[in-house]
Amino acid sequence: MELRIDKLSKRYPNGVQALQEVSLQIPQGMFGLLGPNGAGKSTLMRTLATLQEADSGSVSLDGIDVLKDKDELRKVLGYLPQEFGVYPKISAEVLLSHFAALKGITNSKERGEVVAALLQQTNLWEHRKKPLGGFSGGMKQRFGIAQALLGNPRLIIVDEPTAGLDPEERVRFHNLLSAIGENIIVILSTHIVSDVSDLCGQMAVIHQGRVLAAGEPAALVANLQGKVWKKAINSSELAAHRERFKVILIRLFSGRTMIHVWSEVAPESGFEAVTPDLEDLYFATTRGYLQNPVTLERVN
Amino acid sequence: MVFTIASFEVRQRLRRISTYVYFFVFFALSVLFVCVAGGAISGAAVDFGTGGKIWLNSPYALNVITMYITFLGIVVTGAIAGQATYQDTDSHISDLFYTAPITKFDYLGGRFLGALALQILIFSSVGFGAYVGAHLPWIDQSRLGPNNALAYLQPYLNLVVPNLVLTTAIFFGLAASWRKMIPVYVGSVLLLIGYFTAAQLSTNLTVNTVIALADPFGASAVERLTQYWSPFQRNTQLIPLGGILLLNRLLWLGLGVIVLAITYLRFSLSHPSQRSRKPRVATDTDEDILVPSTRALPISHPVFSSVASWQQFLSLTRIQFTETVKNVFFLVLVLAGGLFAILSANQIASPFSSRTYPVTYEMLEGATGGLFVFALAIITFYAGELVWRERDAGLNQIVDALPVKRWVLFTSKLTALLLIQIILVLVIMAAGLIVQLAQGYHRFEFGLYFTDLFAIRLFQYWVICVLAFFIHTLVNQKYLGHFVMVLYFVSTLALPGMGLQHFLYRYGQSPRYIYSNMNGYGPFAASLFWFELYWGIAAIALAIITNTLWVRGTGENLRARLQLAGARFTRPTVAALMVCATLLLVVGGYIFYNTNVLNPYYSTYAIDEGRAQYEKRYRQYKDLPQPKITDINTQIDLDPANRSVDMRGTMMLENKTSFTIDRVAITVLPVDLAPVPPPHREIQKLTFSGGQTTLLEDNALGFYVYRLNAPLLPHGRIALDYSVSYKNIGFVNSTPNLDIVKNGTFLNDRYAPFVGYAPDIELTDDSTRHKHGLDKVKRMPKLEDIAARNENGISSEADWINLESTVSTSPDQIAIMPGYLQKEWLENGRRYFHYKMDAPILNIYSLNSARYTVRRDHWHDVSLEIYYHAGDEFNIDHMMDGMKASLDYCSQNFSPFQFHQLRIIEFPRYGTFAESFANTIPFSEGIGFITYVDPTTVDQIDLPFYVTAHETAHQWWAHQVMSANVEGGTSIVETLAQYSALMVMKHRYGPDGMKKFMHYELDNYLRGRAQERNEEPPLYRVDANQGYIHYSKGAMVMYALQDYIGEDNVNKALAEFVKAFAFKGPPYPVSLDLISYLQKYTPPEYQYLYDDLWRNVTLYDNRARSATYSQSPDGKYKVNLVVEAHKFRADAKGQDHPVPLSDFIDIGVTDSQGKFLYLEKQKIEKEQNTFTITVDKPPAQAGIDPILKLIDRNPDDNTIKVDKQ
Repeated sequence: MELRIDKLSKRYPNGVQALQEVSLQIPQGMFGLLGPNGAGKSTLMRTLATLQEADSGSVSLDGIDVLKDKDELRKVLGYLPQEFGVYPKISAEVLLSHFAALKGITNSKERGEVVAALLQQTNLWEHRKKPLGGFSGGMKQRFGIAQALLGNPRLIIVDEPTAGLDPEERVRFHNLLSAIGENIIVILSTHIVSDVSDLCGQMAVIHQGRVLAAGEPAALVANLQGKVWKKAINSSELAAHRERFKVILIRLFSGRTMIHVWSEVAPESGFEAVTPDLEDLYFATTRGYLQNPVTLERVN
Repeated sequence: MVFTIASFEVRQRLRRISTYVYFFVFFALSVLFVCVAGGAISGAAVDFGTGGKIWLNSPYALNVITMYITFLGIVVTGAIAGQATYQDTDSHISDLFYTAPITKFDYLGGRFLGALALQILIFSSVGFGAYVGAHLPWIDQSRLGPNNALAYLQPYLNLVVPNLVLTTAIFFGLAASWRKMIPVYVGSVLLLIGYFTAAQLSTNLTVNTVIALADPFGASAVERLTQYWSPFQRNTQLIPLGGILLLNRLLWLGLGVIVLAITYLRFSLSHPSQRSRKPRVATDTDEDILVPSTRALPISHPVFSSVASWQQFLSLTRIQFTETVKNVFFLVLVLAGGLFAILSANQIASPFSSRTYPVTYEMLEGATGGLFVFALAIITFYAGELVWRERDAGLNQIVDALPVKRWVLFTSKLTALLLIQIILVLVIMAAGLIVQLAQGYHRFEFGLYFTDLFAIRLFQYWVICVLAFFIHTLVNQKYLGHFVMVLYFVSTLALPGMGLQHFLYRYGQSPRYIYSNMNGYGPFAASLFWFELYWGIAAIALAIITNTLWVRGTGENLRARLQLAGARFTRPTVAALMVCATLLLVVGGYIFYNTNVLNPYYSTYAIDEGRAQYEKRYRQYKDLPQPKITDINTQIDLDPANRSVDMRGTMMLENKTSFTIDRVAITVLPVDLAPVPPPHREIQKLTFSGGQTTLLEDNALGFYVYRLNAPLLPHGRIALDYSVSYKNIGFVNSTPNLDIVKNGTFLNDRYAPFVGYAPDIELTDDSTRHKHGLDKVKRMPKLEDIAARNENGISSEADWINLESTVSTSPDQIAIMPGYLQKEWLENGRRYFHYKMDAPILNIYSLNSARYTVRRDHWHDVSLEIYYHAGDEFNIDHMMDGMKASLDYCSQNFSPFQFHQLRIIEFPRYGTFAESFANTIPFSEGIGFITYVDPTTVDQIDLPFYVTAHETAHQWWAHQVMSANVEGGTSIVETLAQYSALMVMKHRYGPDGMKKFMHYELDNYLRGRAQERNEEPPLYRVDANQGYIHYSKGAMVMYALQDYIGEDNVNKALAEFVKAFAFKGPPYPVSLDLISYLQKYTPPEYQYLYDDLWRNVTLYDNRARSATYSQSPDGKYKVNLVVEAHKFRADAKGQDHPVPLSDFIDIGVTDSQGKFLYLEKQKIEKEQNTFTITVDKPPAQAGIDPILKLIDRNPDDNTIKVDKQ
């Protein structure tokens, strides 16, 4: 099972090029799409979710032409948008049941079972009769994933799902996602690096409409080995360091400023080598320090 | 899938309270309507054209009820249909639906059907309400007919459901396409108001095919199908879905389907930002994020004084104002309102489609009326928008936490709305000016514009603005707030109908007023001022309270807010409220003193009750033998500035009966019992020469009975000295007395004591009489009542009298009474006029007094004078012309004119009529004087000319020959005046030009009979208040008669008739007398006409079936015409019975210019008839009775286009 995206491009009427020849091959399992706000993630997600047209390129899911055959894709799609609302006065159970009907679960007995199961799975069973307007942020997200899971979808698209959740809710959400199942493609789009590192077997980094890196997270990070260095400096020295080095990221630590820089070789004294992690990969990629965009072949 | 979505929609809506609120409100409105129409609520009356004889559950009435109330439901349709898709945008849930495996058709179709089904459920409440209302125990049972379930169902099939499909489609489409609710709001307002205004504009036009098709809600089509139905038909016949109605339904349903199709095509299940043109937010560059700023921020010094608050107030007001006004939809609303204002100001006025000069007060009335509902909509809607602006944008938590004073936040919004009203008022003025300029009229009277708009109208809008803010703040739910405001508006209409008429408790309302060029705001000014002041103070108090209730922060429930409001009552607030409350009490007290203490306050019910009491107690005196007046010598002192009058005089009474009279009853215009209360009356003297004792003295009802000390023998005479004075003090709650005014006083003889029981105080409407415990109205005495012929139709107290009067008024005014001016002089700062008649006249007389300009002319030795208000000289020439032409015609054909003067006198437009007294014709400012007569068009009737001719003719038909006070009497007085005026017109415009006029009269007659509340008699038994018969039918009858037997023959008959009865006392002539004279001059073959035209209610249904022509070898044209004729006689209930034909009816052929190539009477004896007619020129139209001389149920099918064979 594979989602093949081939040279997908999209330009908005106001001139912004949201996607520039994006190509990806996404196998089954959790796929993380990492990138800053405005990188084109949501545009890509919406296009995959049949909500937006692309200017050129093609997308296919096991023979379904996603761009042209929207009706077919929707039959196997589960989508959790970045921003969504609910009808405030309706209960979770009733609305979920309606969506189940819309997804084609016409048999009312079957529908009842599916809805009950999903509400249990998302820990909303005891709130099922309450109006959705009273749900907290985390509960609403869980409702969102419940409706995305209706009808045994084969492609699930989750757009920035953990922004705004408290730590406990985030963990709960992660557990939900990882328990979803095997023969499914789940695309998780986020700017939170740890979401990808915790959950995803494959990932891509997208920035300004382009895919800058794609492959297994560990392999991609391994590429950075030996090229990331850290140093503690004063805030007044920051401007000078920025001019002289390729600064990847800046952190505050115990009142002092900590910087990571990218360097093929060891920079001047004061710098310490650092085992790079996904965050380093993310910033280094998006800042353009990786001269050759790394796209590893799928290991199979 | 469509069904799944639709049923989900319906099920969810059924769980909402709003659905049940809507259901209940329309149910209640329907019940209320039926109750009020059924006379269940005392003091309340509503007709809406259903009329007194129409059953409440008849197909016709149910149609009207259902139509009206569902029409109000357009707003609800907008809300429900718009929300059908907008709820997804509003809840941000769209994506979840768009990604589900449903098609566009499923989504749109399901939502549409759901919205439609829900509304059908909601509006079924109207039918239920009508049923329940009709079966409540307190309904007058005679207003109900047998129950017919189909009659309840049919308005839904014919009107409601197709209309819902159309309106739901429109609003559904608007919301789905724009994904906003504003187009829906604007759309529903435009639709509601546009339809309303169009309906108003077209009430004066006959509903023709174009109007019937153009009306999207089918009401006009139904009207066209039923406009000539008699009450009987309206009660029993279901309104068929055929003809023009079916066409209309198909047309508009088709349009609805097209709208749906367009919506479907335009819609896509995609993300809205796909089509958004908003510039994307620029992404920050890395530099900005990475580098913490090391520059220090500049230091600011916030100020928190009251000056600062004031400045904040000013700038916030400006922001709120521009935000509201800059909006495209606001502009649309204002422009649409302005357009309707222009159309309304430009309205074609009836009768005869005559326009008036666009004088400023007409512009103000028209444009204000046209814009009115728009203004209310704008106030309601934008009050809501302003109150909710921050919350809608999600900014409220930020704004509410700023250190701005609460009053600044509230008042700036209120002020913005108040400023918007200034825009509206300027739009009204612009509309008026545009219409005036367009018609080349330059007398703009800016002073009047500003006074009316800024001092009155603007103020009224402002008071309502405050209420809107109060409601939106209190209710704290935008849609519900709108709804409550709508309920307020409905209540302003409904409350007076329910008998709650005092303006002290009707928020924001003040009495209606009529502006007159002659008298300015006149007596209305005082009550307007005080009531506006009162409600202005109340509005300020309301604003203060609103300020304490103002929502700041996120507190929800009402109790918490009320507690918070309580805490907000600081000392200054309380002080301000106390001041307002005190002022309110003072002003209110003063008003109350005027409206309830100084002048008694009566609701309509109380007034009617007074009249009923008069009848119940004193009708027994009606047949008491009474002496008749033979001479009146009166002195009338009029004080226009103070609106008071003193009347003194002596009436000579003679016993013309064969009984000895020992008791005399006198009615003095009962205090406050006429529909418009006469002023305070004080009787100083009612003394008979020879002395009297008082048997009965009822001051409240104005009825007195005296026993004469010396009984009056037959032929005996006695003098009655009287002294009465009338004053107008303070102001009243409803319409003030408009007879005695500062400029333009118009009194009549009814202000003087009336000898005997006065029958015209009685209530004339059967429903009202029933409410007050009276039987049905007693009709006039029957023709056969010989004794009744001793009284004439104008006055039961006298035959012919000698009148001498001395009138005084203020020095700058001219006072006019019937009679020749003997002397005029100044004395004690007053101006005196002494008038005397040289021959007896009828016992009706008038007193006019105003600052007049006089135009003089003469006709033979008769001096003609027109007294008019300077500035109203538009049509003086036409009136002079009318007098001369009518004097010419009547004196040549009937008898010499009996006076040496004839005067027309203008009076203010409080009444819109003209009336003929002896050599004196008061003529309203509102008709004739400002009518616009276009010198270029031919087919427009010269109204001033016509009315003058009619009134002049009354100098013969009334002031020479007066009919007896029996049924059919007005067929002499009014019908013959119509005839005379018609002949004058015919000689001026030619017979061909009369068609439009006759069509108008026919239309009037048919509509009048459709609304007849009692029975329709034939012409010779017409009742005095059945104007549609004696004016309109009479005109047709006489015109037909002179066409059949010849104008000269009719005139010979009339001349003899005059000679026999002019100036003679009892017994007075009746219709049978007139008919006998006319019959004398009628050849035998036309004698049947009197049975048809006079003695029965006869109608025809003549139709041209087909007409073809062929050219014959000699160059002439042979026309083959097939016509149908049907003749009916109607019984008293309005049911038509066919009768056989044996009539002479015109058959005619016209050319393309409308000139008759052939017009001959043919004898028609069967229903189908074929005629072959040879004419010289190519024929265009042909038909039967083409000039409409006969009364035809369906006048538009009499002629048909002639096709080539």
